[in-house]
Amino acid sequence: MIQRASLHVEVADGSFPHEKVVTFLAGAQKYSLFVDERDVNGRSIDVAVVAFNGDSVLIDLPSDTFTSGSRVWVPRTLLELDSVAA
Amino acid sequence: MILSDTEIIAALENQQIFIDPRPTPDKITTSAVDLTLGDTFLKWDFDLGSGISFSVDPAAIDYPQLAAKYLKSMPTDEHGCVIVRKGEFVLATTAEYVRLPESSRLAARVEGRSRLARLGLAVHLTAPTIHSGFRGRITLEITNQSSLPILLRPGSSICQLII
Repeated sequence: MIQRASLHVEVADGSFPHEKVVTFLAGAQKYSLFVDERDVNGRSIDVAVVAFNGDSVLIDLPSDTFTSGSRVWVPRTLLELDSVAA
Repeated sequence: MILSDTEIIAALENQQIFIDPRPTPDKITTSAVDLTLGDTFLKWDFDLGSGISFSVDPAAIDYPQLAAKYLKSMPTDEHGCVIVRKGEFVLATTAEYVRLPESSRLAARVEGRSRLARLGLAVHLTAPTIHSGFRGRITLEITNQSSLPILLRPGSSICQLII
């Protein structure tokens, strides 16, 4: 079972009509990525939880960020964790 | 391992792969799924005028800001088509929304079609991997590497997904 979570993000229009840019801050690091509009739920997106380390959580995003890949560490406070299987 | 046609159909049935709209049987080949071209075409426009120097540092750019400023929609004809000329670079997407759930542990590669390659049309630039967990329409980085102008038609078969 893969744990899921909602990641709080800022949302803006993307380059394509069906696309949104979502942005979040993880400490001093700002991450942005394009996601399909159907994957934006208000001001959050669904992510997969990979690992925990104290107050940090390693997550898989639905696509690559512009500054790194799709797997990033975020503060737990950015997430609403659930236990629904993918 | 590459999924065969029967394995692709089973994976679609079991929701290990999600493609919307679902490919019709003729879009599933022996070892791939054909995907079609979306209806929006974008092109970088860095025409800054004479005497202005400009370069991009990939390690430092704010890509969304850059795209908002310089990535422009291409005008289409009455059928929604655009023409890609020699050396031009166009961004488009597949018409299909694709999801590879992490739980399926499946990844994929997007590849061109040989009939398009023979015309000089490439559909991706060194970024063919669709990782497990991906959700969205697949971005296509289209270039025309021949001297023949090539018409891009929304809904036409543009690439194949190998899973």
